[in-house]
Amino acid sequence: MSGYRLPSGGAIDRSRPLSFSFDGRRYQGFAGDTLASALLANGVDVLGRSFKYHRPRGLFSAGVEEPNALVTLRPGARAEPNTRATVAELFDGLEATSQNRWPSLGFDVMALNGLAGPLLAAGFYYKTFMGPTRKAWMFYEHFIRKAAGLGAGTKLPDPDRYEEMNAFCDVLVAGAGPAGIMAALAAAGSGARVVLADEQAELGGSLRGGTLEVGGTTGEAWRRARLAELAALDNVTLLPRTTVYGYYDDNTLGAVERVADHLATPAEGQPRERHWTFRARQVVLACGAIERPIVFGDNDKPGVMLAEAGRLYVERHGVAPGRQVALFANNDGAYRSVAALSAAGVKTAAIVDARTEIGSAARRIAEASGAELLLGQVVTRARGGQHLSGIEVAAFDPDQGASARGHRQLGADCLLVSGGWTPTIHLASQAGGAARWDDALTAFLPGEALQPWRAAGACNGALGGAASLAEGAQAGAEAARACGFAPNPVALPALAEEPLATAPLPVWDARPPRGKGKAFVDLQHDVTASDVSLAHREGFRSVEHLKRYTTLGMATDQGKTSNMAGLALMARERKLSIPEVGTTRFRPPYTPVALGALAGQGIGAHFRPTRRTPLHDWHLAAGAEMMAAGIWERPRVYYRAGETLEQAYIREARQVRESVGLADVSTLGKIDVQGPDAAEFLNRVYSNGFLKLPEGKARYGLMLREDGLLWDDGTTWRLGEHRFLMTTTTANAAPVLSQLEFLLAAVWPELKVAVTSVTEQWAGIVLSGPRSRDVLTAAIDDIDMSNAAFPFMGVRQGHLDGLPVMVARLSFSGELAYEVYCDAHHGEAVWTRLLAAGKPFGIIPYGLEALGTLRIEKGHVAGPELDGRTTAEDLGLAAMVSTKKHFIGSAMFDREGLTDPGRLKLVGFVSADGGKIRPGAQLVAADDPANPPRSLGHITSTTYSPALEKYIALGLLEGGAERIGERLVATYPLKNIDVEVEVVSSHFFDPDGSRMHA
Amino acid sequence: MPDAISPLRGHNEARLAARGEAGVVLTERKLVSLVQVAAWPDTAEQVTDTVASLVGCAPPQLPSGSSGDAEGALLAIAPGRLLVESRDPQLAARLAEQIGPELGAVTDLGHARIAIRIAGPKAAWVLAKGLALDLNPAACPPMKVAQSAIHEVGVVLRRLSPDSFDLYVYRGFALSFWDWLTAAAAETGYRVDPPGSA
Repeated sequence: MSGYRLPSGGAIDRSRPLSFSFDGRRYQGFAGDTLASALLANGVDVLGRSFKYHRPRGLFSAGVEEPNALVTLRPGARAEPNTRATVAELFDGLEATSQNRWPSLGFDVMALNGLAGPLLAAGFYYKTFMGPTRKAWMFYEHFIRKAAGLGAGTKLPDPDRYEEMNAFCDVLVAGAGPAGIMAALAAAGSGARVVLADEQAELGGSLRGGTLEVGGTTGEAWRRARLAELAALDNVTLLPRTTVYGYYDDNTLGAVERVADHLATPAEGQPRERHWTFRARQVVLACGAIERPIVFGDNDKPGVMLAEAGRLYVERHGVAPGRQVALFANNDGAYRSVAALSAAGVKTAAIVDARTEIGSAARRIAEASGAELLLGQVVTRARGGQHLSGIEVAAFDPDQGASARGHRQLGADCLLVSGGWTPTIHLASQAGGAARWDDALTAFLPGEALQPWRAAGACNGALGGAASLAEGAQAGAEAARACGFAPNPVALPALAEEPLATAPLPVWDARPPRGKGKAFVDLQHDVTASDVSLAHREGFRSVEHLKRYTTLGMATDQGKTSNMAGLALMARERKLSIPEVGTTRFRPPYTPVALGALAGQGIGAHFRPTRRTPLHDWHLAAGAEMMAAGIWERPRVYYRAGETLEQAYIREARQVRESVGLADVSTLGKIDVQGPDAAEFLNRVYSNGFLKLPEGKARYGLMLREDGLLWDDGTTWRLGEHRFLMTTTTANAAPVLSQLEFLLAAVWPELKVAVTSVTEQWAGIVLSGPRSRDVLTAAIDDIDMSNAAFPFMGVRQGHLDGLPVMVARLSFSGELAYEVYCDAHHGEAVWTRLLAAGKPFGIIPYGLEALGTLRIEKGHVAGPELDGRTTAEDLGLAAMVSTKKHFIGSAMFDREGLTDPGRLKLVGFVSADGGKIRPGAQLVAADDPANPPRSLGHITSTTYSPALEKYIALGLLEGGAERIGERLVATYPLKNIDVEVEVVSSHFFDPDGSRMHA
Repeated sequence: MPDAISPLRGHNEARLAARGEAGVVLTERKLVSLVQVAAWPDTAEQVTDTVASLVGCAPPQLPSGSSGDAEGALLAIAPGRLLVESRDPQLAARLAEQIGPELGAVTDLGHARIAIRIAGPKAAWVLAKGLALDLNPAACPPMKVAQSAIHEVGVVLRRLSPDSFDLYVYRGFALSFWDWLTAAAAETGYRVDPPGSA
């Protein structure tokens, strides 16, 4: 219970109190608080339990780097686990709960893990439970995952909306601290389109709430004035609460704007988060830097936090981090926190600095604070129970990089730690060369820019305010210039003298040899200094291996406060310098991104678009069950009361064979092919001849791929000398059009042919059955329907109720059948007119299942047979492949592998034992189906045949027609289904075609 | 002759879905005629002039401009390809009369597309949620035409003014697209004006 609200100060609105709860207890905070600052103000110091040892943990930072204070926000469907309390903006009614503890935060049974600490070193679980077999791990994993871990997500659907946004700009500035603001000002003044984005609730970075004098006023007032200037410009977009998380090719950057995360629920229509895809001509990376801690014994006690976090809680939120504060530092910059504490009336009891000399500004601050100044000393261990009560201090030997044994104890309820700063080079690393080591800063800086970006400010190593402002102004101007603008110089504000964090004394592990207490390198994953040593002893030398073996730097914080210490300790073990050990590469995202933000509107019904035929509404009204065919929705069957699926499609198919039915075939691909060379073009595209197709006739055509395998089939109708209507399968409509366009553009540019998709222009209705001619005769009066005047494969144009229609006499079902095409917007009118005309004949609509049944009975091939592995010969269509002309695929169709007599060939199957045959079943010899020697082929399409009154199937079989009469077993081991089948011809029904020619 | 049925029937009727001022107004436009004319490489100029004089407007600026108004408009959608809209129901037949196979190909698309107008101060903002094109007026001035995709649905986009756009959408995707569009416009609020009123 050490933190408390200061009587004044902070950039919070004390007139707007907010009520919230943590683990069911109610507290009060103010507008401008984060959940972390509000909890600190209420003296709550244990916010979570650690990942592996379940040790109590408190606030460690005030930003995205937070490793400890992970909480679950909101209850119910909006519950969001693993949220950092340090970046969760407080709102009235916020409900937060702690994670990874049972039964409570104060008493956690799993803390016993801590006693078994030495056993639980890196790799413990794998070494112990992986066992001799994979099975052992499968068994234990469940329990291990339960014991370790983070929060649990909700299984309820997310009630909120997420959106995407595409944005284009000249200059994107990522980060709106001093450097980012100056960069935006410099670029915007030139007229360039500028976007300034920052992850925090307000733009300003370290200036937010800052009291340091900038341009004759406070940092806070200066940033407000500059942001107001930028906001007034039309060419500037300011995006607070927006994290640029990923840098991708072609200067594309991903960002997430938390539009309504700071509200209890989003307003109506408001997205919770918005994903931005930026396409920027130039980028300025002004991402700042993150303070790094120092490793010492029990350095995870609640009350130990980063020095900058202490300053921010005081200056930004008006909260004191403790009543008896100590500072442990190795650089002058940390003294800014002491100055902030002093200004707010918070006493600093002691300053422990590993250096023997400190800068003059730092010394002035130290003296003014009245703190005891302990130079050349380090904190070796933190003391206390669930909260820090004191620290142990000992002399430090910089040559050995370790402290002396023997120590002095000091009382403290808050220890601010600063081990220097780590520039935030994540985005630079994603779009740049290897990071560059800076010895003076003991830090990695951005490497070579491999895309048009430039870094400025703290992320570029400019850790002081003045340098940062100057670098920002320069980078902004250069970026604008690179876009062709002529920026004017912007004036740099004067800055009060400040202590700089630029030359930290390298102190990574402050413990004496064999020092006591757990010394954590990675707080979030409970990785200790001894784990790093163990990894080294076990031979994990590369930093990549170190990371994976110890899990250092993984999980939600991605090692933002631990990576540098981990590298340094590995370097110490290997007796190398840090740059020799190297660093891991940063990958997106910089901070966690909600999957909802990535999915955007593409969920549920919008996971992919739905395509509907002109008859869609009619099908629904008629009670059709719709099914997906690619992205199309097609009627599967039209149920009658009490029918099963099988009963329904059998009834529909039988009615077609006996009288007449109609079906919606609008989904077939339709391509308008026009031009003086149209016939020649088709002749090159199809494997069979098209030059001599007369006007008013249709022809079935096969398309091969260049490698000679079958690709697509369909009929093409000659509507005029230079005009054809090509139809394709539903699935290949778009690929065929693309291929035709490619051929015309790149292969035969000399051909004068235009191809256009008219799939959507026409509604397609097939009328099938012996009475189909009667129906059309009744409905259409200007086409002679007689067999002589309108023969099989004929195409005619006429009118139905004054609507123009095209009719083609084609048959997929094997019956006398006609396809009727009409303008799409009139599809429903033509359909209902045909239904009315067919009423005397008992006409019915039939769906996809019956369409399948009819074509399987007839032995017609479709998608399951045109599977990209079959040839025309395999499917009995060899006669369709011309040997007298060149066409796409002609060079390859007769190559060795495609003419191998051992290839699988199309045949029919009839269920011999009355069992239902499963598509995908393997065909095996009948003698011992449980141990078949090998597969002889497989089933492609199956149905119950009302014509044969048996289950039948099409399939591909070794030997093909030679095996007719043999008995085989169609086995489906996944479901233990074996059906005895007899091999028959694939033409089950009306093999001589007399019905469709009738 | 029975009425043509829009794929947006039951969805495109006038309504207000906004808390205050609607950020955008959505209207299904009535397409009387929409025809694509494709010229051969050596006839492009002649075909464009023929179409322009028949429709009664200037040739569009190339490569991706448009010309004309609600009476008749030419959209340059690809090299040598024009999308022609007109209030003349006989447009396709008239074009086919003048443009024979030696000049190019005329394809009626009057039933293959629907046209949606999106207008209002937030029109570009709403479109940018799905359209990966720079809609800044400098990059996309009025009369500019683009073929692109919004949420995986192919669209032809024509900017009419800084705040209004016409979208030509495949018929089969129309309802799916309309659902997406109204969801995208929920943030700024929207109004639907009666079909055919724009």
